[in-house]
Formats: sequence, C-alpha cells, structure tokens
Amino acid sequence: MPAKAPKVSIRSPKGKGTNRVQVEIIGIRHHGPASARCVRQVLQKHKPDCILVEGPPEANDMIGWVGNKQLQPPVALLVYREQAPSEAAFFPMVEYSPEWQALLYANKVKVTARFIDLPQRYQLGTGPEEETADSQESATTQATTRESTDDVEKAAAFDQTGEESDGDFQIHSEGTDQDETSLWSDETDPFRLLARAAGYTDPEGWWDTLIEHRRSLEELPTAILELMAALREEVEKEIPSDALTLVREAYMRQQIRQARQDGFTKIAVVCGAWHAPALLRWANSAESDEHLVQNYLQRCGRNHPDVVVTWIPWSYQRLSTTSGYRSGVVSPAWYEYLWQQEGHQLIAQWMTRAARLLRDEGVEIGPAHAIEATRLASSLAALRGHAIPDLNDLEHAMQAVYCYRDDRPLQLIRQRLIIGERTGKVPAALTSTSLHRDIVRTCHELHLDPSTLCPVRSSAEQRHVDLDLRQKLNQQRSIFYHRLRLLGFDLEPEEKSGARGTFHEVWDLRGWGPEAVLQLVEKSVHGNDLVQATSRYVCHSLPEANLQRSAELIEALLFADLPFVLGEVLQHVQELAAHSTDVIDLLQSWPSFAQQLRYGNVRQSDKSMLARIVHDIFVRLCLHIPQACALVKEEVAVELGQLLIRLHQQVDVLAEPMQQQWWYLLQQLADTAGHGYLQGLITRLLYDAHQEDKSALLIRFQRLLSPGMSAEQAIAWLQGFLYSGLTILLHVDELRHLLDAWLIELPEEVFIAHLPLLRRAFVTPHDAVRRQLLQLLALPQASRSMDSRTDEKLDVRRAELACTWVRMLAQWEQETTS
Amino acid sequence: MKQLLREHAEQAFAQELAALAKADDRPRPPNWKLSPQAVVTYLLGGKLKDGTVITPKYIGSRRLIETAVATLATDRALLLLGVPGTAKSWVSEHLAAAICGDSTLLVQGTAGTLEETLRYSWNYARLLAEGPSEKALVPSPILRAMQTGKIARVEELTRIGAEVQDTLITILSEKTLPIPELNTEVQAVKGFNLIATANDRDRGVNELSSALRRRFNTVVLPLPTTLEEEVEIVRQRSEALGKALELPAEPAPIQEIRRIVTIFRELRSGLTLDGKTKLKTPSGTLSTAEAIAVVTNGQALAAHFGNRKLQAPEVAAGLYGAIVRDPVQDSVIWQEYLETVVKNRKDWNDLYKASTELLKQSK
Repeated sequence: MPAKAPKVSIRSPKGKGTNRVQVEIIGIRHHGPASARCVRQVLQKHKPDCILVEGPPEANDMIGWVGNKQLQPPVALLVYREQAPSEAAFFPMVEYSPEWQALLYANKVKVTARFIDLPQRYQLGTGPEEETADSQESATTQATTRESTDDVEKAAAFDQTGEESDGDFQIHSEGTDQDETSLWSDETDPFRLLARAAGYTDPEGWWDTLIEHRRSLEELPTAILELMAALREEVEKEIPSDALTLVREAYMRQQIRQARQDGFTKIAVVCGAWHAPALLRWANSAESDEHLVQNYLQRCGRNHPDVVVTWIPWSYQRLSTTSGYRSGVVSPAWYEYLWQQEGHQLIAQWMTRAARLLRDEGVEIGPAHAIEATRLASSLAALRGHAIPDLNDLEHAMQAVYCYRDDRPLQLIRQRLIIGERTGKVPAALTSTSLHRDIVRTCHELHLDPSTLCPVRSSAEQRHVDLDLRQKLNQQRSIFYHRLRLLGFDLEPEEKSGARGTFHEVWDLRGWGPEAVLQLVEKSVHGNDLVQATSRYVCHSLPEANLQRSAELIEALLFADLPFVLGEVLQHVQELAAHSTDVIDLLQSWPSFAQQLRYGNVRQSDKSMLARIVHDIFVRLCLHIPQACALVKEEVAVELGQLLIRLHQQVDVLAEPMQQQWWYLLQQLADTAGHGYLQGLITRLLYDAHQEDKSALLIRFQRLLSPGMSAEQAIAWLQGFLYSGLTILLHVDELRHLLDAWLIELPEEVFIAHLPLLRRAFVTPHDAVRRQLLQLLALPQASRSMDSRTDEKLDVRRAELACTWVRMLAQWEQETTS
Repeated sequence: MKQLLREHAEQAFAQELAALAKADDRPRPPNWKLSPQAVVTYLLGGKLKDGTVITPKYIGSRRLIETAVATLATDRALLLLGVPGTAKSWVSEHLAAAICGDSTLLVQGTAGTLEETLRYSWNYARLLAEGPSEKALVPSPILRAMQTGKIARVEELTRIGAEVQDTLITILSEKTLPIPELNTEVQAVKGFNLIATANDRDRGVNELSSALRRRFNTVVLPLPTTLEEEVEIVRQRSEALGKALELPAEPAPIQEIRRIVTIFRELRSGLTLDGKTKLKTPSGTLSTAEAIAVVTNGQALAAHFGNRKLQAPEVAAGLYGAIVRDPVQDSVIWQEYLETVVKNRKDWNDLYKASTELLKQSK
C-alpha cells in the first residue's frame, strides 16, 4: 500500500515566494456522521483560512445561508436550468453531512468557503446519448426513469457507501455519469470486495462498523486516504475511471491551485473519499489538468444556458434510498442519532428510545424489554464478530424482543427512528422554487395571470373562468388547471350546465391565492416542474385512495394529460379490488373504469391493464352480487338497482363470454333477488336487451300477478319494472291488459291501502305517455269489450256513463298539466 | 424425514457434532458443548477446516438462526413461532442437540398438560410410605434440565392451558423452582435454558399471557420461501407417508404436487406467482403440512377408489376440503380463484372442471 500522507506541504513554486502552502485533504463519506465529526475536528485543529468543498461552484452565493436559523437541514441545493427546470441536480445536506459541517465552520469563524466541483452548467443535460427532449412529458419521464435506474445501479454498485467516484451526492436528472457507476457489478465492486474480505455481507454495514461507529477519529483521515489510494490503484488497473470523473478531479485540482494563487496559505479540501487520492496530486498537474478540462469543455461544445441555484427543503424520507434517491443513505435518522450521541451507552439508549416510541403507540413494552434487547443485540454482535452492534444487529434484536410475531412495531421503528420523518425548512426569501417558476412560466405561455390564474385581460367574474374547449389554448389551460388540481390545490371544474353543451368547462379559481406559493414550496419536494411534481404527488398520496377515489384519479389524470402515472394507479386499483369485500364500492367504481376503458385516452400498455381490472372486478361482482341482492330493504334495493343499471350500461365493453355470464346472472337474479323492486328492474333490463322475449316476460308477469303474491310485492316489482317509464305499457298490449285486469281484480280495501305505492309506481315525467295510456285503457277497450262481450247482458247506458267519466278524467289530466 | 424408528438428532449427527467440537476454538458459554458460531454452522451447514461436511439441518434465513442462538446465549428463553410445518420442532431439537448434546428433555404441550408435567410430580407409593422426600420426587424434564444445566424443550406451548403455562414464569425469570413440600428449591445450573415452540393460527390455542411473553425472545419461522423448496418438502414427506401407510398407489406425479403447492402458495400470499393478480386469502392456514395432507389423501382416494394414480378429481376433492373451511366466505374465495386464475391456465382445465363440479354439488 503506497503510504501517502494526507497533509501535503510544498513550497510554492511562484507567487508569494517563500509562502508555504498547507493543503489538508479530507476524504469523506457524504452523509457520514463520523466523517462530519472528523471534518469538524480537523478544521478546528488546523484552522484553515480557506475551505474548499466538493460541490457546484454556482452555489457559492448560497453558502452564506448555512448557519442561518431559518435554514434547517435536511435541505438541498437545487441547481436547474432556468429555461428547463426539469434539468436539475440536487445536493442534499443534513446536519451530519461533512460538507454542511465544513460550511458551518467556515461561516462561524468567517473564513472563505468555496465549492470547487466542475460547474453544473457544463454537466446538466449534456448526457452522452441525447439532448434534452423538448416536450415536458418526455423530459420528466426520462428524469424519473433515470433516477430509478440510478437507484438500481446504486444497489449494485458501491455508491451505497457514498464513496462512489462520480457525482456522489446528486441526482442528475439527465444522468450524465451513470455509465461509470455501472462499471462495477456485484463481483467487481471494490467496496463490496473489501467488505467481503472483512467478513461482511454488505459494504454499508462494513463501512458503518469500520468508520461510522468509530469513536477515535485521530487517524481516520489518514487511514481513509491510504485505503482509498490503494483501492483506486487496484481498481483502476482493471477498470479505468471514466472521463467525467477525471475531468472533475482535474477541475478541482485547478481550483486548489486557484485558491493558492488567491493568497490563501492554509487550505482545507473536503471531498468524497474516492477523489481524495486524486486531489493529492494538485501541485504538479497544472498542465495536464488544463488540457483535460479544456478538452472536455470543447467536447461539450454548446451554448450552456444559465443555471439557477437555491436551497429547497429536503426530507429524510427523500434522502433514504427507499424513496429512490441515488446515493442517499438507508438510515438518515440512525445516522443523526450517531451524530448526536457522542457519549457511551449508544445501544442501551437506542433501545430505550425505541421502547418509548412503541409504548407511546400503545405497544406494551417495559424497561425490562429494553434491557433484554440491548443484551441480545450485544450477543448477536459477538456471534457475528462485530465489535459494536450495527444496525442489523439492533433490528434483529428488536424484532425478537419487542415484536413477538408482529413486524409492525419494527416497521414503525424503521419509519420513525431509522429513516426518520424530519423535513427541512428554508427561509421565506428563498421560496422561489423551480416548481413555482415552472408554473409562472406556464402561466405566461397560456396568457394567464400567475397571481389569479385567470386569463390576462379578461373580465372573469368572481374568478370563474369559462373555457371553450374547442380552442387549443383553452384545452391547454384546462390541462394546466387539472394538473394543479391534482397537485392538491382547491380548483374546481363546475358542473357544466346543460344549455352550454359539453364544450365548456367552468373553473372556480378562488382556491388559488398568495398562500399557494407557500404551498408550492412544500409540494416542490415532489418534483421540479409541474408535470413531475404532480405525477409524484399523485403516487405519493395513492395509498390513501379508495376505489372510488382511484376511479376519479384515473379520470383526472387523463384530463390532466398525465397518462404515464396511470400504471401506478391501476396497480393500486387492482390491489384494492382484490381485497375489497364491499360490493357497493366495487359496483360504484366499476362503471367508471369501464367508461375509461371505452372512451379514455389511455395508452396501449395501460389499456390492457385497465381491461384486466375491468374484467377482474366484473368477475368478482358476478360472484358477489347474488349475495348482496339476497336480503335487502327497500332503500338499499333502490340504491342497488341504480348501481346495477349503471353497470348494465357498460357491460358491452366486456368480451362476449363475460357478457353471457352477465345475462345468466341477471336471469338468475330476476327470480331470486331478495326484493321485488330488484326483480322487476332486472326483468326489465333483460327484456330491453332482448335477452328475454315477450312470452318469457308475460310468464313472469303472470306469475307475479298471480294470487300467491302479495300486492305489496307485486307493486314493488312493478316499480322496478317501470323504472324507466311507462312507455312499455303502451307498446306491449298484453302487459297492459294483464295489469289492468289485475288492478280491477284487487279487493277494494287492498287497492285503497296500496294506492300511494301504486301511484308512485306510475309516476312519470312524461304526461303525454300517461295520457296515452289512459286513453288506451279507457276508450278503445271499453268499446272493444262491448263488442266482444255482446252475448252478455250489458247495460249500455250505464257503461256510457262510466266512459264519459273516464273521458272527463283524461281531459281533466290534459288541462291541469298543460 | 421422520421414520418410525427414529434416532435423536444428537445420535444421528453424532459425527458432525464431534467434528465441530474438535474444530471449534471459539469461547463457549458455560456448559455449552459448542460455541455459538459452531451451533449456527451445525444448523445451517458448512465445511470445516478438516474437511468434514456439515449437512444443513435448516434451509432458510441465517439471520433467524443467529438470533435464536444469540438468544440462548443470553439466558433468555427462546420461543419459535410459526404456522404448522415450518420446522419449529426440528430446529428446536437440533439446537438442543448442538448446545447441550441432549434433545430429550422434552415436554409435549397438550390441552391436558398439568402443572406437574412442567414442574415435578410424586412417586405416590413412596410418598405414602415415606412421606415427602427428595426420593419421592419425580422431576419433570424441565427440572432435570435445570439441575444439569441443559436445554429443556416445550413443544406446542400454546396448546397448554394459560394458567399452566404461567408456571414457567418463575422458572424463566428467577431461574429457580421452589418445592414447598420439602421446603427447598432447585436453582438452575449455568447453561440451562428453554426452547418453546408454538403456533398461533391453529384453532384451540391459548395465547401466552403478556407476563410469560415478556420472558421469551421470539423468532418467527417463515414458510418455505421458494416454490421449489416447498414442492420438494411435500414430495419427500408424502412419499414417506405413503410408504408408511402402505398405500397401493403410485407416487404422486410431480406436476400434481407442483400444482397443489402453487395453489397453496398463491392463496396463502394473496397473489398469483406471476405477481399479476391479487387474491383474497381463505381462513385456513394452508400450511405445507396441509399440502402434504392433500397429496396423501388424494393418493389414498386414488388407490382405493380411483385408478391408483393421483389425478384432478382427487386433487380437487382434497383442495376443497383444505381451502373451504368457512362454508360461506371461503367457498366464494375459492370460486373466485377458480374463475380468475385456474380457468385461465390452459393445462389446468381438468382441475377447473373437477373443482367447479364439486362446488356445484356442495351448494
């Protein structure tokens, strides 16, 4: 192992003559508490007059904020192109980030601090493969996929230790340097090999035990530097570092020399441990560095638009690798604990904290448990050959002692104590997030006033905007409003009034005010531009959505032209549908899914999934509906009936065999449903759909009106049967006659008792139909019956009298209604 | 696998244990025959420096076995939890064999287990003849383990009545067992510990009191993680059982076993193996042990009433019995599964037909 001292003192070749320059290079792990502590100690000991930190130099103006009480970590430096906010990089910092501690120290003792990495303006969006896509949508999806592939790679490559050779602690949404992280497979990842050599299964645990749990930091920087120098030498024999890493290191070396030229004499450099050995060579590489950097800039060779830098709030959740952040840490809150707990009793205190948390949540955990968990953790550590229990030992011990058979307590501990729920704060002066800017930009494009969202130069009353969707501009505005609505802003598209037709959409924009800007700061955690933030926000809030809400979401996503989020929503729906035992819920949501399948502008891949969902829910419905219809009260029957009708209207989206199943089910239900109303209604559905012919209908009808049935049941049946009006009685004479005969046969007291119900059954909004019916019943039949029953003795005079009365009634109906 | 004439673990694997003890240079807790690391190796298998191959006794997560061994090393009692058929007793036996070379200090828990079974009882002839004396005392396996510093085992702890279970509290917390009749007590020798096994999804179990639960560290043994693993377990066990029952049937064809195990796993996890369809889970446990029962039952049916070969109708009958425990809810779940999953698998047509037929009949 080549022994290289971390401290390099050389005589300055020129410049301030005999000036001795001392350069202290501190190789760190991003978000490593031991590294942070180490940086603090080294800085306090050496008292440098200039601190150089690996990071985007565009953010130098932002350094002043560190230490301001209003800027509370976790926060992130956000660097993005002004013109295209989706080209962005994040540099999250937590309290125990070595960089944060270095900047904090610099501000406290008022020495110069600078970021020295290759400027982001040369890195953002200059990926080797493609230029930035123009459309927002593809840019964002790209960004999203990049981030997730990065995440996968991260698991494989050794970024996990935070010591990776590239951008280290930032997401490049346009992924400039992912090819290099994928250089290492599981087998070649040097950190993994090192960890394995030391008897650990994962590099993270190895690093934790070796470095982060260490109490004495005296020799740490030297040790890390030596380790890295040796490691890099070995690794680079096999796999040379990629171009960008070399350029960045060259640039950083240039910056060290720049600092010396500026007259600083004691310089401290805080950089990722992987880079540390490379930066050691700063003194004698001026020419080659110049060549490398110039060459790179030429190769990038295009106009690099300005970037904007700001602090944004970050969260432990987002920092933890579980949420898809590339070189985050698995356990932010655990590291915070390590950072804060300088004393002894590390494990016992941790176990007590966990016990308290569980006790507050109502889990029965006493101090004795904490003692036993501490003992078990130590025993496990001893068994596994760890000097101090690591996080795995702790988790396994807590599982065995605290959790009995339930792993929810452990999940709670993970969520609260290991990952943590801390969210950072940013001064109000910095609230101009890229999300906000993106919205303002979109407003200008769509000729909207950003403060009210109303169209410029329009006289929108009461901030209600009427959009004529036949115009392209208005379509885009509608999409924009829909996106904001999905992002949780209280904008409401009002019910379209019938007179205006369906081309209009009226928006109530009163939910958008000055406070919206503040809300945008919170929402900016989810993404840099509206598309990204909205998509992620939808996914984020998905777990709480029930079926009904999910159906609405699907519709809203299509309105908001965000089809690429559909997949996740659909998956959620599938999960919900499988577990839902509530038929009503399934019934309520199924028609909207079917409708989306029919009309929705869904991509092909989602379409097959949607079709599958529609199919699956339908199968479940077919199995559950008979049970649901078995025993119902009248109110429920009516509600169920409405739902069945809605479902029925969409049934033809299904494949033929499924439709057959539906008819079969209806035929069964027509006899077996637990309420007459439902039976009647279903009979009607069958008849209208030509699934049963007239003879079958008449048999049912006769059976219904036979003396075995109570009048009450029959009337309920009629009510269901006539749900859509009386017209059928006009067209099917037999029905009318049967009904007529039955009514006449009813005993008087029964008739009177059920008159209100009967009346309700024959209610119809169309008076013309009722009148026609009356006429059909009263006149021709009267005369016909006279003809057909000539053999009977009939008092024509009295019959005429009755007929006159009926005529008068019919007339009277006409007059009163007209 | 269990045979009728069965050796104890420490007899069957005496050679491995001896080799481990010889190669073991790590510190051993008092009265342990092996170091904790060596115990873990004994259970999970491995190769020693002298070339002895240690066969794996338990195939599964290393983490679980490590936690179990570390627990026993801290003098906390160990509770192995899990649904039937997850090798709880097997692990407990091998742990005891490896740690103290004796897996026979065993109390089988039943609803009829009395306090005497856990503590001590009396030789009544002697008690009547001589009055209470140490000679008249008949120590339980637990008491003997305390006296000799060994591992005691309690099988099916939750089958024992709750008030009897609580007898263990003093033993586990004070490490002593008072004998008031003799005005004396037995204090546990170093090395004593207790492994209990329990399952919590069967009917008729008694929940542990929280006082007792506090005395245990819990390790939950999961069901086999992969389909292949489970198919293999079912195949071996059903073959062994078939032989023991002397069924005049051919061994169950592997594809039928695979089908049964697949159905069990899918319904148990509420998800089809391809991960595409979510399912409801029925009320039964659907353990590996029950899958074994479906296969053996099917074989018996085929042997005596069928064509001696396990086929769809026998499988369907067995599956119906295993899955539909609650006639209302489970049968809907089973039907749903048949309609959404089984129906769409082409070569499962025979099973679909047989099962739907059966469902119709039972309605």
